[in-house]
Amino acid sequence: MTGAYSEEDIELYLAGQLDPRANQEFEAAMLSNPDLVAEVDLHRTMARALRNYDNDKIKRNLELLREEAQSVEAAPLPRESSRRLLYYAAAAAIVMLAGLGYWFAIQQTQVKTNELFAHHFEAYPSLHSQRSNAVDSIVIDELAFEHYENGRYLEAARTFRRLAEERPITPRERFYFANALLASGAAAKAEELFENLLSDADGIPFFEHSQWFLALSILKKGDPASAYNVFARIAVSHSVYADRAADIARTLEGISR
Amino acid sequence: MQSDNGHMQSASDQSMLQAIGAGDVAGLRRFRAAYFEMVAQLVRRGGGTRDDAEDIFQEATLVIYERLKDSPLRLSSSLKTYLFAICRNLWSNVARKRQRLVAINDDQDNLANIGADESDILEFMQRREEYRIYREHFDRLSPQCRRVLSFFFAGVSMNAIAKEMNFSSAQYAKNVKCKCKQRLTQAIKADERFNELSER
Repeated sequence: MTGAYSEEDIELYLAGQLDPRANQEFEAAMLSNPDLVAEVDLHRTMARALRNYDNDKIKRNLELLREEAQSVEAAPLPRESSRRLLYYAAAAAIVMLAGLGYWFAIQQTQVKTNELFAHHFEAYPSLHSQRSNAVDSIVIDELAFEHYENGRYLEAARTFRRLAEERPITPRERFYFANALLASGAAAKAEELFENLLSDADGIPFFEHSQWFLALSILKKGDPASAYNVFARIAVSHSVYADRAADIARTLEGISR
Repeated sequence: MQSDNGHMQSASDQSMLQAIGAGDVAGLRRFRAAYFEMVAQLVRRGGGTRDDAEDIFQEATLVIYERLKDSPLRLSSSLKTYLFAICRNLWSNVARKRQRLVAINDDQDNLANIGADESDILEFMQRREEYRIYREHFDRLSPQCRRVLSFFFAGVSMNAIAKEMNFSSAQYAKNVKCKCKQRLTQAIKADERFNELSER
């Protein structure tokens, strides 16, 4: 029993709204009344448990990211990658034979390269104003760019893919398509698109950016040695990314050691 | 940010914590990209699957989110270490429930400088268990009770609650709040788990 104290008194006490004298009396009563202490504890915990009981948004977003990752993993590889897949399978077999110690080292490296990627990757911004001034803005898939601008990279990648099936896409669209793929975790597919863009004369306006994102794609894919080569090339160029590339190249040297 | 034991909380950790606290997709994607593989590795070594790793990662992110909402968090270790310790704790609970004898990773590299954060995690996990009981009973209340109590615990005045709920007066809102809170209190007190926790 809480003696002379009501639920309202307990609420006022917890809110620090009792006057000093009433507060002193309340605390004195608690010293001799364990039931009152238990009741105060219950109301305090209830307030803490329910004050911020609104995790629907983060739960929904976490679920979305999980689906995104699973859908990227389950997506079929482009046909031209099948030879590469065979190569990876052979390489994986060799790695297995090389022993668990080597496997462990690879795992550690993967974690480190993932951290490095997350630290440096930020999807290339896309703004309406930029698009309206674009040199090669022929037909723009509004929906794909809308998804992209709102951070819905998986949807953006899917829409760009649909667009690519309907008509040849412009270098600008290819660039954002690759960025959307990279942002949604499909690093290998993004790498192919960036490579493709770099080898295309029409892709020249995006050369610098494509080179940077290509390096990040390779890093994300978990191939620090190849990523190092590309970052090192950027570091000695006049690219706006030169300083950042030099930093990453130095870190990658440390990881490979 | 400098913590009490001298550990410098990096700008990247601070920005990650802010992102988790906001619960936005872009920030959570960054957090996932940085640390999911570490969690997958921990779970895999403990005999779990990739699906288990997904569950553990989601739950651990929720733990950090709720911990941030509960009271100010000052990490003495890095966010990576903090996350690793949470996941290790969550995974050992899962493994125990499955009655599977698994090796729980005691990776000294990932747990470096965990210091006071370890007890923060353990205390919060216990508090969270307690919160879960309160929240389960709260979820069983009528939609009206849930809304009124949510406003009340968020510090909204009775006048504003009355207006928001289309009640005739602040006094009426107060009566509804009291009835709902009493119902919730009774349900919690009747729960065996609550009594077990109280006896600890």
